[in-house]
Amino acid sequence: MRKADFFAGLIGLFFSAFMYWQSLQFPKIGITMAGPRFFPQILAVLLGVLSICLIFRCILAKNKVVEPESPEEAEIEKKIPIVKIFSAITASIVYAFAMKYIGFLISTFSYFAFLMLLMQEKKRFVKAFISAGMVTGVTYVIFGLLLKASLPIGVIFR
Amino acid sequence: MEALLHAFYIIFQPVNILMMAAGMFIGIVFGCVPGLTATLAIALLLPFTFGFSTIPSLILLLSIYNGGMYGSSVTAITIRTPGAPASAVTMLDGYALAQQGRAGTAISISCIAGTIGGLFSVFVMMFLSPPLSKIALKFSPVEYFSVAVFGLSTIFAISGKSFIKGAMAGTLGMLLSTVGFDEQMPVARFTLGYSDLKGGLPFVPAVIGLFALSEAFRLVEKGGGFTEITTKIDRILPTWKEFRGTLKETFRGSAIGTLIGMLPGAGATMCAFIAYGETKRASKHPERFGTGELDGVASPEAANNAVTGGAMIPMMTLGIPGDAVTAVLLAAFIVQGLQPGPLLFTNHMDIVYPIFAGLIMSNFMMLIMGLGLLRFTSAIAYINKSVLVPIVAVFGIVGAFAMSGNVFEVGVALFFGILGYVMERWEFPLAPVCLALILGPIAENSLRQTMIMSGGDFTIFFTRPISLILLILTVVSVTVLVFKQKRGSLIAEAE
Repeated sequence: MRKADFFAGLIGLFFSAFMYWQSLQFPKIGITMAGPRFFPQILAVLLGVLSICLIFRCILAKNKVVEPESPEEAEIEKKIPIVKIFSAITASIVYAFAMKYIGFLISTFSYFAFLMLLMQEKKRFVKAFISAGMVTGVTYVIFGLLLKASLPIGVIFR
Repeated sequence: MEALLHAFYIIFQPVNILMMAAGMFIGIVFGCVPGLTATLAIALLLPFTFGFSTIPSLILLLSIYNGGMYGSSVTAITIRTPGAPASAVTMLDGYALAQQGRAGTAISISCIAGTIGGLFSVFVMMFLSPPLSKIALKFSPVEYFSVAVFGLSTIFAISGKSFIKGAMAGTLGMLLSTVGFDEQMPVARFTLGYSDLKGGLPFVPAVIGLFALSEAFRLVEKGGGFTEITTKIDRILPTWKEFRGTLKETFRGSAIGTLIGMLPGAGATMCAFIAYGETKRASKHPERFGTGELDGVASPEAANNAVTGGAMIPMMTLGIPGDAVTAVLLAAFIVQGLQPGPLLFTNHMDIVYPIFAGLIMSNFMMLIMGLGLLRFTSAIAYINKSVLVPIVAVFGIVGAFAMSGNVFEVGVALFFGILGYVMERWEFPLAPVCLALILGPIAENSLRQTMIMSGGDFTIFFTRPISLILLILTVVSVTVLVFKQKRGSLIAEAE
């Protein structure tokens, strides 16, 4: 986990520097310092300091004693199914943007079936497609008919 | 009194009873399933409330809040997996009882204690909120800033394994809350050229991403499958002797939950741990705790349900949420065009009384549904995760979209979903981000107004008595909490 902390600290530091740099574009006010850049700058500095603290904590911990990671922990670390998570996240992004083009019904059905198959250890296609059809229908009834949200029909069907 | 009677009349309207039952059912189910929490359920259902009028939608969400607290204890007792962290401590004696074949008794005691705890806290809330809101009316920006700092710092300190990470999460949330048009000058901040960001980061999609989508991604990581339940439910109602025996500790838990729950940042988990610790300390047989003592179930369950009323007090009177759930509830008020805070009690008593009445009735509903559905709820962990994950993901994304019909909001939800997933993976708490998104603008505006009032002089925070007391409390509570956390004594005490 220490490596992750180190990276998190670095990301925090970069993000705070970026926000501080961006905030320099906001006007400064003469009378008091409480202009639009005042609060973001305080926060950016605070985040930067905290990130440095986190990085230092990692470095100090490394120098102290190198605790061997417990075998269980190491196993958990190894087991992250990166491909699976990456697929789920990518599918979510694709779903959000595809909705506009292929419409709510097809995109929701495909997204649901994909996620369900991704989660199943033994792939059961019929079950996934039936569930996807049911959930798509229920979601359409709730959001489209009851809540009257304007769900996209899809550009290609117009 | 008449107003309260009228409020009960409103609550007994069929639509409100229906909402209450639906909310309670959803809350219990989401509470039961490990990985799903009441916060997630409320975040997912926020977009639904757009279509309803104010009272039914608030009743729905408040019932989910109540039901979720009880629901999480069911799986803690039956399969030793708390549905939410608030019931982690219930597991110690609850699961021991289940192994002795007394799971039904343990769950029903948890339900009854939760009802008493919830009712106790609502009554305290009803008595304390109006006078508190009168005091809050006199608050100037100076005091508001100090309250916001107090609320934020305590949640940084307790909501994670490390103070630095909690503080980083909160600061990140506050930085993100500054995105959009400045409230005092026509300056767009951090919009990166997106005109959609000019109004600020939309809160509801952010919450959906943070709590629902990130959880879905986390469940993908864990993989699908069922959880086997081998626990058998013996009986549904406890004997009179068992009930009477736990009553004293139920009230102890209720008082602890309400009082500590009022403090910003305390949260249900901490209250449950403290209640368990205090009950064990006061007991004549502390050695029996952990081996199946009913008091060890009653006290923390009363406490975590009592937090619901306790945490609502600062949210309703000051507009300052005490934890992630109340932060999301606050968003629900705003969605309905209501601004929680002292003015709510002067301008919207027509909403405030039905909320009180609704909370009272929702506790009774919890008792009825909790006991009535006991056999059903104890089997809920059977829900297959390979169905659960896609449902949460679809509802989250469609919910974020349906609110505005804008794909941009789905983008925001996905951004926060990925952010939340990575943060959880790296052991950063999410609650501070959510809270900071709400408290950030309050803190910024009050700070800037104070600076204008004082001509840039910071000492004003230390020369006004209420502000000074709040800042001293902040320093003391953060020091104590960080110190305690370092020694891990909060949990050790309970165990």
